[in-house]
Parts: sequence; C-alpha cells; structure tokens
Amino acid sequence: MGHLVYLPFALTVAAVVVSRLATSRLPARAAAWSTAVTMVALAATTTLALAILASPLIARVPLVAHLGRWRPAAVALHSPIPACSSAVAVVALLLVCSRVGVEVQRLARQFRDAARTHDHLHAAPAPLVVIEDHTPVAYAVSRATSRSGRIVMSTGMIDLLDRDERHAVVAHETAHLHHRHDLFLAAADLAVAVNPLLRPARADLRYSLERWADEDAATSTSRPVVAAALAKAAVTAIGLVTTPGALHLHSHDMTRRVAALLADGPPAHRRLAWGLVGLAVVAAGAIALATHDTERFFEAVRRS
Amino acid sequence: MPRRSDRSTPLRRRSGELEAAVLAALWAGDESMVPAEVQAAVGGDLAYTTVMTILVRLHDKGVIERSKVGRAYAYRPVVTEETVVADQVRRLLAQGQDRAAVLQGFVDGLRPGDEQMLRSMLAEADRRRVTGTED
Repeated sequence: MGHLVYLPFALTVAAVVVSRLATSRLPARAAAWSTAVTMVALAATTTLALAILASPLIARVPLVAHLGRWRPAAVALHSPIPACSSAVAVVALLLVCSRVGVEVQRLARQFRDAARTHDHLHAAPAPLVVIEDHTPVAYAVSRATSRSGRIVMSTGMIDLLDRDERHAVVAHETAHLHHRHDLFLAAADLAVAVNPLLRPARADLRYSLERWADEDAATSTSRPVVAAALAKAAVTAIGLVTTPGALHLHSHDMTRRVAALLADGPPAHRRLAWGLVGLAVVAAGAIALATHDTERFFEAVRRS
Repeated sequence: MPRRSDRSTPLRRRSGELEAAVLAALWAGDESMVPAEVQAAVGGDLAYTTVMTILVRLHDKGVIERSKVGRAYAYRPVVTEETVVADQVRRLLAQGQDRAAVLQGFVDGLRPGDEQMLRSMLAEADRRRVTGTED
C-alpha cells in the first residue's frame, strides 16, 4: 500500500496553509464553505489512515486473528507497515477517541446552554433583547435546531452607533443566525478534536464567518457603514479594557475585517476554493486506494 | 447559487430585522417616542404604517410600553426578565475564554495596539459615507 496512507497527514498541513490564504483571497462565503468542508473531510481521512496503519498490530490480537482466520505470525511477517508506525497509530487512535468523546460532551453542553439561554430570551419574542451595559456588546443566540434566534445588544452599543450602523450590527448578527454559523464552528471543533493539526484552520474559519456576516450586513446597509460600526465598537471596547487579557486576543482580526470592508471587493480567486476542496478529494482518493490494498493484504494472509 | 437561501425566507428575515431596528431605535432615544419619531430614527424607506404595525406588535409582546401624549401614543422599551438572562450570558463571554461556538459576538479579536489603526480606518469609513463613494 506504499506511502499513500501517509498522504492525508501531509495534505492536512497543506490545507492549513491554503485555508490561511483563502481568508484574504476568497469571498468570505466561499472561504468559509471550502475551509469547513475540507476540515471535516481531512479529519475523517486522517482517522481512516490511522486505522489502516494500526490494522497490522490490531490484527495480531489473538481474538481478532481468530475472527479473521489468519495467523498472527503471518501478519507480522508480511505486513508492509513497520511495527513502530502501527504502534504509534494505535496510540494516536486511542487519543483521538478520547478527545472526540470529550469534545462531543463539551459541544453538547454548549448547545444545551445556548438552547436554555435562547428559550429564556424567547419568552419575549422580539428578535432583539437589549441589556443595560455601557460596554459595546452584541451577540446572537440560537437553538441548534433552528435558524431563528435572538440578538442581544447592550445599551452601550446602541448609544455608540447611529441608526445605519445599528442596522448593520443587527444585520450582521442576523446573518450569523440565518446561515447557521454556529454549526460551521461546531463541525470545525470536532474536526480539530480528531486532528489537532487543523487548529489553525479553525481560526481561519471563524474569521471567514465574521467576514461573511460583515459582507451580508453590507448588502442591507453599505460597506463603509459596516466598517464604521465595527471600528467604533472596537475602539470603544479597547478603551474599556483594563486588563489586556479581558478581550479575545486573536491578533488583528478586527482591524483586518475593517480593512477588508474598506478595500475593494475581495479578489475572486475562485480556483483557490477548488484547490482547498481538491486537497480533501485527493486525501479521500488516497485512503480509498490504501483501504483497497489493506483488504487485499488481509485476504492474502488469510490464504497463507 | 449565491443568495439562493436568502430568497427562500426574505419576508420573515426582513420582518425580524425591522422589529430589531425599531426596538434599537427606541432604546437609543432618551425619552418615549411617537411613531413619527421612531420612523425618523429607524431611517431607510420605512412607511409610517409599517412602523405603526411593528410598534403595535412589539407592544403586544410586552417588550415596549406606551403612554398617551396628546392624541398619539408614545412608546418606550421595557426592561424585561430576558435582559437579565442576556446579561448573564454577556458576563460569561467576558471571562476571556475562547468564545463558544454557539455565541457569535460582534466585537472579537482585538488587541490594544490596534486602536490607532482602527481610528484612522474609522475616519476613512466616515469620509466615504459622506462622499458616497462605495466599493
């Protein structure tokens, strides 16, 4: 089965690089979709690759060998995969299982919390809930099962913005709800739990989702209005920060978003999206071939 | 393919956004507002009757209250139980942990050194809005 089985790992590294490029060279919607799809596909293919790499060692467990009707010694003798690779893969698989278990629990808790918050807010079925707070805050809460949700805005945010900018913030949060951005992030969280190499791509996805909502808001207002709303809220938020750690320190995300809105429309390097998805397709192809080879190997040892 | 999903539910989405816009306008005002004032504060091409409809709907939902001013009603927002819950969520968000996937905040990813650049970009955005050059 050669080295094909290692390909998904190399492609993961490539995908992380390409997804970074996608944040600035693709329309936000295309960047978000291609990054999310690629992340999920690569998480799945790397897991299958680990399973294939681990298979010679697992096949030597007496019970498995008995069920498979092959001799453990024959597997050990003819396996094309080095025993040390198999051992590493077994450990990695166990890690993946436990990480996914933890992550699924965390996500379930998160969605439950969100649903509870949403249901509380839903009691007054206005789409906007205003909280009295001088910090400029706006966020959206939804149920995992529905497109509708509630937008929360602080009086600080409302007082800061003029009417068009307020509209931009509402449209931005509505876009998050309408396009189910919470599910994109949850899928990415799972993918990172499976394959930690994908972590940088998750940050890129989050940036692309914010940009997507910004551009969506710009269609119902205008790009300078969204830019102004973002910049005002950001400057005020910085002024209110007393400890540097109080806000999420994800480099220059806010400045990048404002700059992107003030620049001409995103350059449409559509091919980059296909390139990104292409990496996942190649990984899937490699795994399909490697799976086929693995099956043939076990058929061979069964006959021997 | 772009915007396909937007067309399927434009009315519902739009009406939700309008309710939010009217509510935000009422919160932005210092005192109770009569419908004409709300119409001006919301802006856009909103018809007076549309504003009236939304105000009545919001009042029915108990989110805003009204009082008689002369011959018209003046409206103002009510602090409801929901705002308390929303505030609890905000506190959770402010704890500095990586934001939960389910909550999508507007202001995110900031660092103090960004302020100068943001200020100059804000000036640029305002300049474009005044001159009307877009894109």
